[in-house]
Amino acid sequence: MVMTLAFVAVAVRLTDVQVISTRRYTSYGQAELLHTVELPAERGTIYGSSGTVLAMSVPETDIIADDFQIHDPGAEARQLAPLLHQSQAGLRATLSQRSGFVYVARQVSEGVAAKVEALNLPGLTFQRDPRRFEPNGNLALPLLGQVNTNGVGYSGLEGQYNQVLRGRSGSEVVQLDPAGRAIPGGTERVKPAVPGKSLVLTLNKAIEYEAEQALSREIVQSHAKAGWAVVLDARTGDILAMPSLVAGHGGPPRPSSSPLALTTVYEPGSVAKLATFAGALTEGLITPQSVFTVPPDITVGGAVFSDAEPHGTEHLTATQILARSSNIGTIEVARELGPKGLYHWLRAIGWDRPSGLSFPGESVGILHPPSTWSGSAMGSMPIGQDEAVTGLQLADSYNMVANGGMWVPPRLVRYILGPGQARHPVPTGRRHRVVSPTVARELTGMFEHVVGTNGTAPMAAVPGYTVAGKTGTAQIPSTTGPGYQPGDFMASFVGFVPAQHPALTIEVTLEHPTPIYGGSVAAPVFSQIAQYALRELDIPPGSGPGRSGQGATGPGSGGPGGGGPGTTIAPSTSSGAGQ
Amino acid sequence: MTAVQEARARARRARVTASAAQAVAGTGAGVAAGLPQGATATAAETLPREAPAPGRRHAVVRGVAPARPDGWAPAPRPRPRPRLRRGRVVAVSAGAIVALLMFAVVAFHVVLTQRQFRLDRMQQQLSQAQIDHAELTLEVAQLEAPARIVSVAVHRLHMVNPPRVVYLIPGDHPTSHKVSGVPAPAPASTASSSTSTTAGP
Repeated sequence: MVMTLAFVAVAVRLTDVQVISTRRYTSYGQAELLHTVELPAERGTIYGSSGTVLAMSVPETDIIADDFQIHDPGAEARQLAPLLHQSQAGLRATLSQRSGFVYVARQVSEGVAAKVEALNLPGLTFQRDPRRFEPNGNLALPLLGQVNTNGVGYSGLEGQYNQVLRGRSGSEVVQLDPAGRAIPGGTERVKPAVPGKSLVLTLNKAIEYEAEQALSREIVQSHAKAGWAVVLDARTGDILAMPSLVAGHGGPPRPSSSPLALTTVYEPGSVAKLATFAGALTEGLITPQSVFTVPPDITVGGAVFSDAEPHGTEHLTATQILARSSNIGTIEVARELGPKGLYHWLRAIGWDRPSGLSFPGESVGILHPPSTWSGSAMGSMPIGQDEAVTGLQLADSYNMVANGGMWVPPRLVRYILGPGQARHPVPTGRRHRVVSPTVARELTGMFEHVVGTNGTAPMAAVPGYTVAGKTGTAQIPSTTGPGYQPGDFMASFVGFVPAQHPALTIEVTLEHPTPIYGGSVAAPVFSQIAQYALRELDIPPGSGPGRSGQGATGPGSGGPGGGGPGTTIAPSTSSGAGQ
Repeated sequence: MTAVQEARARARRARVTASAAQAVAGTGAGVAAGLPQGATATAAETLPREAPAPGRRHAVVRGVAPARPDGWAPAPRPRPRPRLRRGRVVAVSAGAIVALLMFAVVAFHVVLTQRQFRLDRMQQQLSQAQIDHAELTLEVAQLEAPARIVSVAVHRLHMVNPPRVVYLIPGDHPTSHKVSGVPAPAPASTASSSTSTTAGP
């Protein structure tokens, strides 16, 4: 009887396990046996213009422990410590957490992972985890941006194109033995990862490096706080280089956290005179030979404006006004345009528009409409105060002159490289005409005189080539109230080379340099970058008619007056300049 | 013939006769016929066949081997009935097929597992090759880094930058080359090894 009851009980239980609750018990078994492993997607590579690698991912391995399966943490720690270069005590603590999942080491090389795997320690599993590398070190790092340990781009191009680069993770359901090792042939389901697409940039690695070196040397030499440069292919608008450095504290300059030429707006100073002269020439108000009477100073809306170097009343042509960067002369020309005309031309050269790159943190500049201008604005706006631009906007506006009056949108990503090497172009803005080719030619001639022996930037000269450009030396607005910070300047030079058949447009800015003048600190950097880039791009000299007085002197004294340090606002006035 | 030999021959004959008698004992005819000891005739020749009873089936004894000259004859064996024999053949065949199938299944699984191992191994090799490729690509990129190239050129190879770049620009006539710049040696302090003047396109 007892045997019969026992037999019935066993039969009932067997029926329950095998028939009634079979799904439940199957799921229990599968949960013990099957594990889902994430297959991380390979992040796309970022290439330079010639196909050189700027950033790429390499598969590495995370070593993970299920510490419930580790019965002797001390012994395992003793074996792992020398391979992982970790302390034995730390590893022992890690392996004794009783959490079921703990990272023993993240992103170790395949070689190290293989050695650890060969130890055949219970409770350890290995998971693929790609790591991002920049093989060129800090080269163009502010532009490229950063990727966090989870493989997510959070700054620069890595952040902007994260969705494109990261791909889609897959998964794999595998059978594991009680020790946590995969059973061969035990893979149940595989959902393959989709690798990310790659970016091909317009950056030229060699020019970027030389530009960084030239900028770094000048930052150290002039004790500047920071500096940046933009090198454009004049015809296509391609950004060939965009170094961005900040002074190191006791060490060499280091890359800034973001590309300052895109994310920093500053009052540009005399380089803004482009808008005034482009407008006046286009509207037929002046010619390069028009003569103006330039007094020692001029009062606009209660504010007194003067030139960088004191002088008596002079008679200067429009070309001379630009070459000597006369503030007073420029204000006189701007009066011919009027506030609306000046505002129109500041907008026309693109100083209130985004560049079209849509770079994270990129600024569009600051340009207020005339209705909000103060009484002295017609004195400050023509000479680059009361408005703010980025370095790239500045470079683009001069590149318009280099292109015969046609504004060319800048481009940083040439195309996206998809599966099967399919190329997907990245849309950019549209070219549009700003000034006529005639006006562009006249402006080019005037700007060539800036780099001449009588101009403000002879140090921008490139031996064998003609250079057209403009200096800027701008005061830095006060952060605590109206007016400017005494002794703080932004020094700039922007120009193109060869002047008559432009191949390169280069903009250089240094923050708080000594000496303060753009012609003394920014122009030599322009020259160094241009010399190297012209050679790198195989652009021979003599590709345009040379101008007397250019290229013969090379680096010289430069002297004061490089762009003029803007103007001095009389303390009694409250023009609002610098706000 | 000696007395011993004669005794042996008698004994042999006696054994053979006993065997023949034992062989036909199943019919009960050998003893009933009163066959004398030492007779040389075979049991088949000497024993009469029993006639089968009407309406009754009997096993037919066929194919009794002829008696050998020495008097020995094999005992006739009863042959199995055809249905039983067929059933046995079917059973044996089925067993063999099942065994073969089981062996085939096992063999198939062995091959499958071997292939799976091989596939796993190849996938690991593929994965390793991809990792190697990525690592080598990274290494090449690191070797191509401008900072490294400059460092090697300047510090290891003691190279110097050319003080001036000279371009030779070809004209219409080979003798009408335009030369831009004048070649100049590198500064003495840095010209320890090669001083190169770059000729452009």
